[in-house]
Amino acid sequence: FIQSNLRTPLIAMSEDRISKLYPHVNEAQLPRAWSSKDRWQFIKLSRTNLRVHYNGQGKNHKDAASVRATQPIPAACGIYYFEVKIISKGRDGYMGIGLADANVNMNRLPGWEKDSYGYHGDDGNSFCSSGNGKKYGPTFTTGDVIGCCVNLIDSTVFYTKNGVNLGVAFDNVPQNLYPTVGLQSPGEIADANFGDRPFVFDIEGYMLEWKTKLQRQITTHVSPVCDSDIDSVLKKIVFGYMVHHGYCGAAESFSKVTNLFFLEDIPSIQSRQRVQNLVMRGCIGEAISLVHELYPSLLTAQPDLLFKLQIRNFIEMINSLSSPDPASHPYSIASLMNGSEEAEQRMDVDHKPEGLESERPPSRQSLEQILLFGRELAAQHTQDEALKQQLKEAFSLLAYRDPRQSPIGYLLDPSQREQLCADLNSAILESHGLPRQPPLELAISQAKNTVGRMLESGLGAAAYSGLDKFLKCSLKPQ
Amino acid sequence: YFIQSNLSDEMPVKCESDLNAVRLLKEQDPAQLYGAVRHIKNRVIGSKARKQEYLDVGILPELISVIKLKCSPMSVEAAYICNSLAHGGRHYVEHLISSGLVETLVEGVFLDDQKLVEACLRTIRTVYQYPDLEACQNLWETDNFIPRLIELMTSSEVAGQCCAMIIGSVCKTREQQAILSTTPILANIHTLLQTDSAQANLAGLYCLSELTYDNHFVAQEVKVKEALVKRVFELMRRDRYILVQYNAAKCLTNLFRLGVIEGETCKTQILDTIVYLCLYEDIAIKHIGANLLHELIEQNSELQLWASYSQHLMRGLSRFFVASKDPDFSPRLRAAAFKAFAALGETQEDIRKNIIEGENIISHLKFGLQDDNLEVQVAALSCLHSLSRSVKQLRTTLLDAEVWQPLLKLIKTDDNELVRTSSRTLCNLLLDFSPSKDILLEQEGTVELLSKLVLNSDEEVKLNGVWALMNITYKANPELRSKILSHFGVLQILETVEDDCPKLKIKALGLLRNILCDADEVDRIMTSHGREVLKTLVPILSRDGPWSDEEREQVVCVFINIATGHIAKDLLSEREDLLTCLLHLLSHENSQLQIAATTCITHLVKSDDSGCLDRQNKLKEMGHFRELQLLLAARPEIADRAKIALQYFQ
Repeated sequence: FIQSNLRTPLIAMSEDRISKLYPHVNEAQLPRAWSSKDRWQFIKLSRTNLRVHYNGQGKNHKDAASVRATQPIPAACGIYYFEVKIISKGRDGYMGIGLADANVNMNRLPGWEKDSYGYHGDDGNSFCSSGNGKKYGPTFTTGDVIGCCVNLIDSTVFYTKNGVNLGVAFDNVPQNLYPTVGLQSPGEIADANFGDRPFVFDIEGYMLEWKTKLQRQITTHVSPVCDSDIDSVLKKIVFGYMVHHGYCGAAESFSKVTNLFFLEDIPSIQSRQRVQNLVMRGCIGEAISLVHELYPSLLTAQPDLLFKLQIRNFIEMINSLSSPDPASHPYSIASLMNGSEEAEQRMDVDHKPEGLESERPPSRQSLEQILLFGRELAAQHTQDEALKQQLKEAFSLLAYRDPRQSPIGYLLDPSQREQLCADLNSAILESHGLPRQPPLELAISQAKNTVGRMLESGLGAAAYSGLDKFLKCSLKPQ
Repeated sequence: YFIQSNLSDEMPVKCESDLNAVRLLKEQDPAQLYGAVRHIKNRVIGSKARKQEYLDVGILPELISVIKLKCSPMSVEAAYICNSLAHGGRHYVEHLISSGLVETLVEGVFLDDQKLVEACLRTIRTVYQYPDLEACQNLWETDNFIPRLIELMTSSEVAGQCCAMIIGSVCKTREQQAILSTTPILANIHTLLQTDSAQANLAGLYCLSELTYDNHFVAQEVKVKEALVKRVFELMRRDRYILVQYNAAKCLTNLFRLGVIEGETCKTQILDTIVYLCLYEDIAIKHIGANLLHELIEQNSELQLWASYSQHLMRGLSRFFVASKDPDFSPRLRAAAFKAFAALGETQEDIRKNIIEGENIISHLKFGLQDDNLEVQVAALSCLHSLSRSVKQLRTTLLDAEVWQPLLKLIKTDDNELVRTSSRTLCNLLLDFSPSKDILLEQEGTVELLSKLVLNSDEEVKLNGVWALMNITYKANPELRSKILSHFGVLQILETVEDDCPKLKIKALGLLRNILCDADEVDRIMTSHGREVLKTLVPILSRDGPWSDEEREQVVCVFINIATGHIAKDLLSEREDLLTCLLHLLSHENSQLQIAATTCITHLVKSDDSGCLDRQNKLKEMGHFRELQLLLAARPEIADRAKIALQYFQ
């Protein structure tokens, strides 16, 4: 589904650029400007707090002044980068660009104090928490663009000058540092770019280098478990997946080859599959009847699940009402060819379903009937606020001339049946004393959660795990 | 640069069925024949020992006849057996070529059978991994072969790869490059680059780099294909296979050297990739990276500066000198590092200072100059040459390190490249402000050695010899001067002045100028060789000659020196042709020549010795006086000199 982009292009461009650079971090947590509060008095800011001016006396180092960015650099960035363009070197060009902890005195240039790091324009030296500089790179002056990159994967920092990588300046750098710039002589002016505009240095190229490096490390990682164990684990995962989702025939063949045993008898799997097929095809009413028939006490014991099914039933009714051209709706095709041979052949099932009658998709109902059904639903009692909300949304579909184009049109999408189908399947399994989730899903959730926890606890490497791409999901914290 | 898997050498097992299989190649029955080629193919792939075994039993002619049957699938299998044999190495390839395999394969390429065509192409490609082999030269001349390859490039990915590799390795001259670039080959290469297959990308990039190497015409053709250039940049990114990155960087380096790549971002991206290669963990990659760095930055001081501070590159390069685990590979690494340092220090004093002070290169250099490996020696010399362009280093580090010692040894060797680079470096060491100059001149035989260089058949060595002689004669004492003249006499100098090479001519004139440096010396030489000197030099001043202003200026400067002699002055004034030339030069459009001619006349009319009145009168008569008066209205630097000259006229 292609989403229309309603944001204005300009903002969209810079936001896209930033979210592309740091896909695992919320934009609000990123440094985006210099802080108007967190600065020494000789620093003046302009141009939406991106330009820094020095307006002190600049007699000696006691007149040095720095400013921190609004936010520290989140470790979940993996690799963080910003650039500073020297607009004017002022009288002496005593400018320092770097990083500082929240507690560092701003009456100093970055690098002089403990927990601060800087690269200075007048001598090209690097300063690592010390007043004594180390020979590092070339000097810089008016017109130069200096970049500072924090690699949170290997805890190093390097600088760039006019797009050229100057190599590692510091290692063992701690986390939670703020981008910082310091000036010391009158007339010095510098502009920062925190990613809103394109960088001079090819930071994407550098990120790609690390992404490639880390993903290669993951793919070539040798598991401490021996190969034959991995093999049997993988077989169990595949088998579990087949059984869980009711792919009986495949599971039977697989078990013959692998000598894995069924924990559930085959008719039971087939029954679950029948229920699932009904839900996935939108025949909710029939699904409910079948569940009542096969598992008499299940829905009585779980009224919320029943209620969810009924809401879905309600939505499916609206669905059948609102699809103008039956051909455009795959489930409507079935309704036209109700019970025909072709419909049977289309079904991707392992066994011939018993009794085509129960496979019948919802037939078109009149608006009155649908409304009646809705009202009955609304009259039912539920404690769950979320369910009440769902019902409300379902009702609001009726308010639109073309519900598919409405803001809640997604409710009509067949993919919305998947979760319900999974919930129902899990409930059935649970009632039989079997696990709710197949091992594959457990493993995926485990991996996602682990990467999420790693990002939260400041392991920068997790930003380039590649898991999101692999699973086609988003790992961004909500 | 394809990474080859190590072939395991198994013990040769003579097997009756093998010999039988070879016998079966003569078989008429298709099924039996097919069985035999399959059997041989399966046994020969991956085993060097068996390759040799099969060659020994004379399998090649049989295989060639099977290919000549032009019948799939046995001809295909036979071609693959040949391909496997060719993978065995140079020795096998030589065998294959001499048995006439290539001709058969070339015929096969023209068939309609795609599988057989591909098998033939693959085998030709493998054979042409050694394009330096003598028998490899004639593919270009084979009728319609290259057009056929270009046509086949689009028939399949495999065919495309092989054709690109073959064309890349047979394309050797500028003409061939130009002819190829007018065919659809660039579009076909683009197709290979578009795929996600690293092998196809490599083949395409290899072909492109061969096509674009040092060829302005092709570079312009490539430049207009913006999508192609953009794709090459994409292939240089870090998620690509390392050799794809390298080959893309190589293509872009070629284009950059030809002035086709512009823009800071593009330049920094190429540089960044090459620096990345230089610092890569694999030594083979480091090696090709450093060589490519040399190509990229030589003669470009901007990139030299950027490279000098990029990613602590110089520290990384100096680690190349630490012996690697592979003793055979170490010398190549050292040579590559020296070459890279030579390029880095080519133009800028600050970079030279950093190389010497930061990386302690001098101790490596001293070892490098005495290395067993010729390539290392040459590279070390070019690095030393680069560093010797610094006045400061000449007076300090290079003096202390006594680099002249190994240099004198190397210059006496037989290797032309060594003599060339060492004599080039020696010139700098013999400059007046270099303290090594005196030390060198104290050594027995130095002057003789330099004179011998001039007799060398190599243009550059000859030039360096004259250059060095010119340097040592500068402000030389009479003793040294006569020593020099005894080894390299005036007639020899004049002969060198008449050389066709303009650079050599200039240096020879400089040498002559330095020899003719005081009045007594001038008179002595002009008495003995005056006639020859004038005979050689005067024609150069004539208006219609093919000489450049620079050469004329040098000649006038020689005459300025000659005009300081007493007898010599008269000799010059007698030559009316010379005086006419000087008169013309006074009104020349080149102010340097005007100034030189004015100075020369000043010396001639100076009133401090006898005969000056006669000379003045003569020059008045010929119109020099009037011409000088006209010059008073010229630019100050000319007018001032004209004024001085005029003051001498009484």
